[in-house]
Amino acid sequence: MDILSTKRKMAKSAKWQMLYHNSKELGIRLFKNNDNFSGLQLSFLQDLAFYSSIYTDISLGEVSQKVLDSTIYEDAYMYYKVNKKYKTKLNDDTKSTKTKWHFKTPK
Amino acid sequence: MEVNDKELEKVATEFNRIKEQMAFINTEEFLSSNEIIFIYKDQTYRVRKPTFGEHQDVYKFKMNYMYHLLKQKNEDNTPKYPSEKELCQVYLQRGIDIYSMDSRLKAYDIEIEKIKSILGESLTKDGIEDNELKMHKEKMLSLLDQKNKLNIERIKLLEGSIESLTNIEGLKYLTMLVIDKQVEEKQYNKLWNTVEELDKAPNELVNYCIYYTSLINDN
Repeated sequence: MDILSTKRKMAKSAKWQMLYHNSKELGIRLFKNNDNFSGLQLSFLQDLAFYSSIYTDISLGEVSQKVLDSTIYEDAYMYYKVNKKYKTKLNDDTKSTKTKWHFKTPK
Repeated sequence: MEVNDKELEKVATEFNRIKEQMAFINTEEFLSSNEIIFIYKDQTYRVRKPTFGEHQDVYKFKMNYMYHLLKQKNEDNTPKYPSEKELCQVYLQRGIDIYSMDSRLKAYDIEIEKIKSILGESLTKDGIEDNELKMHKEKMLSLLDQKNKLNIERIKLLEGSIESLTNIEGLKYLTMLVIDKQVEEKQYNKLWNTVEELDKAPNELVNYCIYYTSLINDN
């Protein structure tokens, strides 16, 4: 049994996505422990957030439903999304520094 | 009794469904808490998450072990174990270039990121053809496969180095610290007190313990 790929499939499932959203909104516990998470649990929480983001983007029409056909597509889309956000933020920061500050040579 | 292809296919699908359900149940159990409980040959074992102090112990153990390896000498007073750098130089003399392997691994990463970006963007466009997506996917799978093979080759070549030996011993030491054996219902005792005891245990059990320890550990 490949635990890591099963963990990913679980995070993608409707059952665990529902539990994840309820845990955020209603405070339902996902695990027996509330803190001191194991590496496996932390990685599962990341997977849940990853798929939650993909499902939200599909419903907003930002990405095709086809993204769910393969883990390769899912990874590629999230990679593109994160990089696009980072580049936009970088551009915004450059623009804002250009307009906000004016340095003059003292007389 | 004759069985036709359709029936066989139906049985295979059902078998795979049950197999997947079983995998889900097992993984859910492993995720339910910050410890993994498993049974090996009718005996129950527990792998728990290492504490901060235990991580410190592992670090000290690794430093001592590395120092111990560094001090080891052959009869002609040459170092018994090579460092990664020394091993790379020896391989270079024999025509195996680990440095070029590193460059090739970096080049694979760059190429994979490039395709990821193109594929990711394609998925956001309307009316994207399945063939185009599949083409990128195939290319990516092939690159990932080549990268993994090269990475394994590199790891195997360097497994005799001081750094690699220290990491393996460190993982064994960590495993030794966090594995408990059930003695009564809800009562566990330490399974091994030293790495030497772990070394003498059955291979299969040690492999399970090391695998579960690496899953539980978050470092």
